[in-house]
Amino acid sequence: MIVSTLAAACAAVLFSGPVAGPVIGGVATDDYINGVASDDQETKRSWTISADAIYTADGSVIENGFIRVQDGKIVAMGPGGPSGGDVIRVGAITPGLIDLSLRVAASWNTVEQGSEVTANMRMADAVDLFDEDWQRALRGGVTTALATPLDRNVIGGLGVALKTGGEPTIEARQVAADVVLRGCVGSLPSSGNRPAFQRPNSIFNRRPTTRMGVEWEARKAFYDAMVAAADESKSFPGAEQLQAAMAGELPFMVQAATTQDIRTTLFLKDEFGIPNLILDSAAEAWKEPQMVQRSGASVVLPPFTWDGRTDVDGAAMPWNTAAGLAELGVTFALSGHGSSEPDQRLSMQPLYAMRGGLDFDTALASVTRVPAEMIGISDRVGTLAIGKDADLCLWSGVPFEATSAVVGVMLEGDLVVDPRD
Amino acid sequence: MHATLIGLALALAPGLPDAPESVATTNGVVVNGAAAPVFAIKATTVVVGDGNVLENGIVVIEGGRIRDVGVGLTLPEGTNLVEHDGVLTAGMVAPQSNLLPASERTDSTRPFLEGAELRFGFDPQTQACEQAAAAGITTAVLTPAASNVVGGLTAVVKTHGGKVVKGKAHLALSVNAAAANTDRYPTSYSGVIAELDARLGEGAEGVYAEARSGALPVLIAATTEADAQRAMALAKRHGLRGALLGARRVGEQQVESLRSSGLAVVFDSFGPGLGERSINAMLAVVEAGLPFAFELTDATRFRFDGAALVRAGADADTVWKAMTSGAAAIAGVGDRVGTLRRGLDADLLLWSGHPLDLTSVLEAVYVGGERVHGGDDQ
Repeated sequence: MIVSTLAAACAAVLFSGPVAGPVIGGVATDDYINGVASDDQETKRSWTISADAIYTADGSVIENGFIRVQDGKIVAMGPGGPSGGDVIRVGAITPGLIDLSLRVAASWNTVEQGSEVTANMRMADAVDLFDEDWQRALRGGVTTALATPLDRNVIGGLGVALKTGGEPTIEARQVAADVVLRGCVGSLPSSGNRPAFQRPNSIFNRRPTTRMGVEWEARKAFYDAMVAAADESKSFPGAEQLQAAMAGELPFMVQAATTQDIRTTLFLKDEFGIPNLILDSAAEAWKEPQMVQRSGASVVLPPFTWDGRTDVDGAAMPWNTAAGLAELGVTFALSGHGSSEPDQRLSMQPLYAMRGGLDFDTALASVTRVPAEMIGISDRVGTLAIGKDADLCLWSGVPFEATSAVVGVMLEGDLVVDPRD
Repeated sequence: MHATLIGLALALAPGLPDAPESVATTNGVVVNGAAAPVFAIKATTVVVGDGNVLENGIVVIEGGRIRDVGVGLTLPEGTNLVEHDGVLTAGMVAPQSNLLPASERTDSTRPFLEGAELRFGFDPQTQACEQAAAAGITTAVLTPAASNVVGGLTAVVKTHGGKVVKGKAHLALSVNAAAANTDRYPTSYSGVIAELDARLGEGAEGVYAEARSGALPVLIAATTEADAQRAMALAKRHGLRGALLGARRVGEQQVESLRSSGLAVVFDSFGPGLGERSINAMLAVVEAGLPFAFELTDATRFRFDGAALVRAGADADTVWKAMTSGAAAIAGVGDRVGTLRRGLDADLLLWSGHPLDLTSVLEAVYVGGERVHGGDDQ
């Protein structure tokens, strides 16, 4: 069991927000406990949850501590704390998990195939908030996910970071819209396209039909955007988003699974000076890890599988991939791909990464704090601190141990999965 | 005052020679003086459509319109009175219909047809229209298929007689999967929304500007919950008013969104085998007091859809109001049909009992004061 920087945790201890009432020496008074609590779960807006250990995901652990939640936010936390009454007791608390590659609700109608490059298309306009996969993710401990268009375009559009539950409107669910520009290299953007030998009879009579065609389309898009930046009259829909990616204002997230596709993407990064590149599903990052390290790109790994074959372009990923990237200081996140296989859930991924040699703290960060930072939403989610969203993953025991389970989930103060049930 | 009284007298005296071509009556309705047919129907129960029910009520019809509604009205001598032992209601209204054949409702050449007017595809001589009139659906909106992002301008028509009550009644839009069609741009919801945002946003022109100002209501085809969510967000962004079409799955989870959007819902025709989820979703809309109506696909089934909701627990009078005056308001012709009120069209239904009791028989249908189905000879 790893307990890092407990001192830091103690120093940072506690403090209640305006509603929570007095907290003395880490132990809440009776007023504090009784003042706000309500028995009616439907309308209950405040909770106290205590645990053997609270993992804040910023490197600290609070042994035998509590978290106080009010109106969707964390208002107090620290060691000790109340017990009895309606205080919920669990083995451990981590931040709600964050999946940057959930692939949720990515139907055919989320990709605008009227063109190969549709950088201005917003997944926020296309995402299906009623897809049952949201519930599956939420109940598995994933409280925030990035939704991106189906990977059939070279540059598909803008991803949206969403909570996995709550009122089904974009306004209510979104953590932030248009957080990444999504691209894809490899075999997918060219699949389904075909040349027209006579008169074209489909929008799929088009380039690209090969990997080199895909690369050419991506390069042309960025080149055209550069031209448009210099000459307003040459602007086109999506130019602004491509320019933002080149300026580093918008992370460019590209699905690139195999070594050759990773190399292609890094080539584009170099050529156009794209500062913030996220390689998604980069299973084969382990083959030439120095290349990834030198580029400064960050990585999202696909779920580990028993035979090492991942679901994109047949790319292979051994168990020690995450550990190897960590050793080189490459920033990476783990992901679940929204697989319906229980053993491919995001909550299981750190276990496999640790089995491959990764340390606990990095494993925890790779499903919480790091993905939040990668897409710029860490002001709200990814770590446990006063003022952050009350998105909690409640565990029966030490997180990621093979014998520990996600027994409860809280999303913005709503106890979606009650560990007492 | 004198003149109008004389006018009324002339109107009520069909035998008089030398009657003027047309005269104004007390209620301001212009009729063809000499030829104006005046008659009245007295029924055991008159369902006015605004929530009022009259026992032994009388509806006076003149020149195709309702001249008076009340109890114990004194009728001018010689007025032909139809006595009905049963229920008298206004004709039903369908704010969404398939009265145009599929080939006339679907134009696959272009996804944006803001200039197209559905009324030019209207043929009142079809069996579909005849069946609708015979089933008591006297007014319907001609709506396009949902496969175009902008389907055109709807028209409100009478199912008997071919009268176009209102042209350019709504701008028909679609945000459902059929509009995001893989054969042409746009293939995605993102593309559909981006195109609609571009047309309806600031600087909107033509019919889009009218829709944006609220002058021209919209009907937005939205089949799934996600479609409805997108449609409501679109309406909110651009200040659109109107209704969602085919949105019977706009579930319990979306009632509040629906309320704040101000949009009505037109439930797509469902038939008897409907799942509990859809029923519950529709009941949630009804119980929240939000405006709703029903789609017309099969005329013989139209009333059954309302009855199915009642069977599931909805209040019968609420549902019936939705099928008449509520639907007329959604169609944008609440000032012409849907209620038994002075000056409105005499589209009347004579029932043996409550219209949403399926053992009740529709005994006669009047459209514009003309008996087009059933009844005894006058």
